[in-house]
Amino acid sequence: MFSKVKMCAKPQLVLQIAIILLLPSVGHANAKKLFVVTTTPDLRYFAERIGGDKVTVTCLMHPRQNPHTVQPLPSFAVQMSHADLFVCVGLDFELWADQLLDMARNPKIRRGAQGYVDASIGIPLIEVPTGRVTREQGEIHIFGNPHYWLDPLNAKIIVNNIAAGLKRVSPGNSDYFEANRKKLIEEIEEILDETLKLAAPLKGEKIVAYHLTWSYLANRYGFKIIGQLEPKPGIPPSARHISELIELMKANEVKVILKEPFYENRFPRLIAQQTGAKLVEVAPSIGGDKGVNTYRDLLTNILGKLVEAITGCTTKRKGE
Amino acid sequence: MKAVAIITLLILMLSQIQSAYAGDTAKEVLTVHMDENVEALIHRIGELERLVSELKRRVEELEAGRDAEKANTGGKLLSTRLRDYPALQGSNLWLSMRYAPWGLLRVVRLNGGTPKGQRIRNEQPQFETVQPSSSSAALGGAGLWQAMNPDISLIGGFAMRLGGKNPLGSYRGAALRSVEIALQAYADPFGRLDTFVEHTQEGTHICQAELSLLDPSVLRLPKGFQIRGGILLANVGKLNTIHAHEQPLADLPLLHKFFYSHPPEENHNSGNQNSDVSNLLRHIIEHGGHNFHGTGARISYLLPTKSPRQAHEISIEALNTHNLTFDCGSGRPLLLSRWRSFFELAPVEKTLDLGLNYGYGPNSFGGNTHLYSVDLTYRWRPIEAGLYRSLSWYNEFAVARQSGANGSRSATGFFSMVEYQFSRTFYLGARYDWASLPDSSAHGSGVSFALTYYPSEFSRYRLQLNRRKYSLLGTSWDLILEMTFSIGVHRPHPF
Repeated sequence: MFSKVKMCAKPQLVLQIAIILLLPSVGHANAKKLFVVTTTPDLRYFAERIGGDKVTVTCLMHPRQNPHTVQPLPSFAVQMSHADLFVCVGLDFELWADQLLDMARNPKIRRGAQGYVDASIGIPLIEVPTGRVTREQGEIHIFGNPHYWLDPLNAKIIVNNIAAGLKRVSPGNSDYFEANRKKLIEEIEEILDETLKLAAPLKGEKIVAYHLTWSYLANRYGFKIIGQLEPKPGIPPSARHISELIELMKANEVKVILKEPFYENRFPRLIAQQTGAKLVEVAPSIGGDKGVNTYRDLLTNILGKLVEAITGCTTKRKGE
Repeated sequence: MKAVAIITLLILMLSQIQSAYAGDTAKEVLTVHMDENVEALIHRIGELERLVSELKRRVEELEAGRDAEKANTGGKLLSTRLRDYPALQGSNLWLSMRYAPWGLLRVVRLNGGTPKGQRIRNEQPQFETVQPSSSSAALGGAGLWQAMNPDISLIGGFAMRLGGKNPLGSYRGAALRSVEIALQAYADPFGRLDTFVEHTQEGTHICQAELSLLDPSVLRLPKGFQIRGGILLANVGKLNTIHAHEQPLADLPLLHKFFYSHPPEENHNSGNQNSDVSNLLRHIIEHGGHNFHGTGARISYLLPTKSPRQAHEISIEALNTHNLTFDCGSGRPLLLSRWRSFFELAPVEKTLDLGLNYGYGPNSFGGNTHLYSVDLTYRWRPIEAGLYRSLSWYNEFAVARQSGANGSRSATGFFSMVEYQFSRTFYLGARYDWASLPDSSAHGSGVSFALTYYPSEFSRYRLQLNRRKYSLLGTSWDLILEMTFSIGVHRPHPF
């Protein structure tokens, strides 16, 4: 009798031990956060907002870094090697991304896999080159201008794309991601309304920029970029081009030169002196300027500085 | 009879009453049903009114914010807004096709299977599953086969000797240095093929044809492994995996020339050792300078690390090669291993790359060669001013121990090279190097200075001064102008 009990107890004991051993791992699996790698700080912000406490997000680029000078460091590949989701701007904005994907050896995030999100899918693109495209036109983006996140309506598409990616790699948390997505979409609509009011003085204004970073922003808020310091994308300014630009600015009474922190100041200052225009330096990404921690901050900061330069009035961010 | 008539009358009356009652009930049912329909219609009208007013507001914004010149773009942007409204999702999808022709098939299917806008919105993830698998595939008008063509590029380099003194006296005035044609593409979901065909004064050869298995899971290899096969650039040192047109200076350091050059095809033995060595030196100086490559396979493993600012990789390869250090003519391959550790000293902007290399293989003296080398590369590119300032400092030291019929010999080589970017388009370069031939029969040393101008990312002009001293040959100096152009789609070289 005793031996029978002992015989029966053995499998139970084994089962219990197995359950005890497995429980922590099951619990760990449930509690394990998704690891998301994004290329830009803006994508990181959106991924964090949608993923909430279910995700850990890391970003490869520094917010004040020129996207054209990003180097595909091996340490980036290590981070991507254990990523569940990879989110990129797409449109050849990150020419270095494919090389990193190859180095990472992670089939989950390869192009076309469940964990690969090209945030540009569905974005109505502008400045798409037409006709024959050659390098004579400079370092152009053949699929169109990739700086699309500066338009809140495009931000909604980005949010939808990231949410879709998160749902694909973690279907169990779909409801959670969907709730966060809806909340964020509503917030972006609020941001749109607020910033449209804020940017009202910009409507019809003509400005000059260093690079083709601000086209989507200009389209949304009704100002016009009539020239760039770069004669062609990626080509440094020449004396002749600067001279022509000064004439153009004088003829159009341009009040503002808009540039990113990662471009030099010598030529913009020279032009500002010659034309009387104000030089506005602002980062096009979240975290690039002090106190810019959200998407609302980003747009308010850029538009606020522009309005201030054009009207001379200081604008305040929400919450200040 | 009366009773029958009364009963009939009663039945008729009853039937009238019943029919009247039934009519009332039907009317009531109809009324209730109509009420429901009307309520639904009112609700729907309310929804539509809200939609229309919202749309009007948006259109007004568009009209106010855009001038006539942007009318076409406005149409595109309007479509984006429409996608937010469930009732108009269909038209939005149709307009989206203009921007994403590759997604056309999927969009059509979505419209057919899910007529309700909200469902389409929920199924939006499906768009991503049909993303273009390569950039070129998204080009409008490109046929399927055309879109599947590999990336093709051509890089041409020309060098002109402007002046100098050379004891060999056989330098040409101006010459085509090399032309490289690259064909690169993903072969399938698991790997890619990169082929580089190089034409130089010595002829045309395939300098690299690398089939890379990028997804380890296809061979059930553990995570982190990667296999490459074909004609490979040997994974030794930092500079060897960089093609000639991407090198920081116009020529390779003496270490690479003396250790990894191919020996002359016809090696006449004159009986005079000094004369033979002089001829070999002449050959190396004139024709040497190719990357160390061979046919074989490499397996590499990316070590897991907790630090996001480090990377460690180990690789082992077996190569069939023929140069001054190794000669695999006997059929036995060279075995080469490399440990690479990468550190970000300051996030993103300051990095240190350390490589330890060991090679073992047969040599042309009937013995074996042990090759030990260490390379250290420091790079700095500031976060904000990265377009205008950068510094790369390359160092490499190698020892080759050869054994053979004539006993053992040992040779060493070293270079230290710095490249500093001081504007958006200009770079300064300097190098000190010395090395001896693997059989230690001759040695050389020298300094080089270069000024490089990049008008764009795709062209380069370089003026370089070399001053070198060779044993047996004396001192030489050269002033070289190098021009390099690149056309087509060329994948960036590994960092």
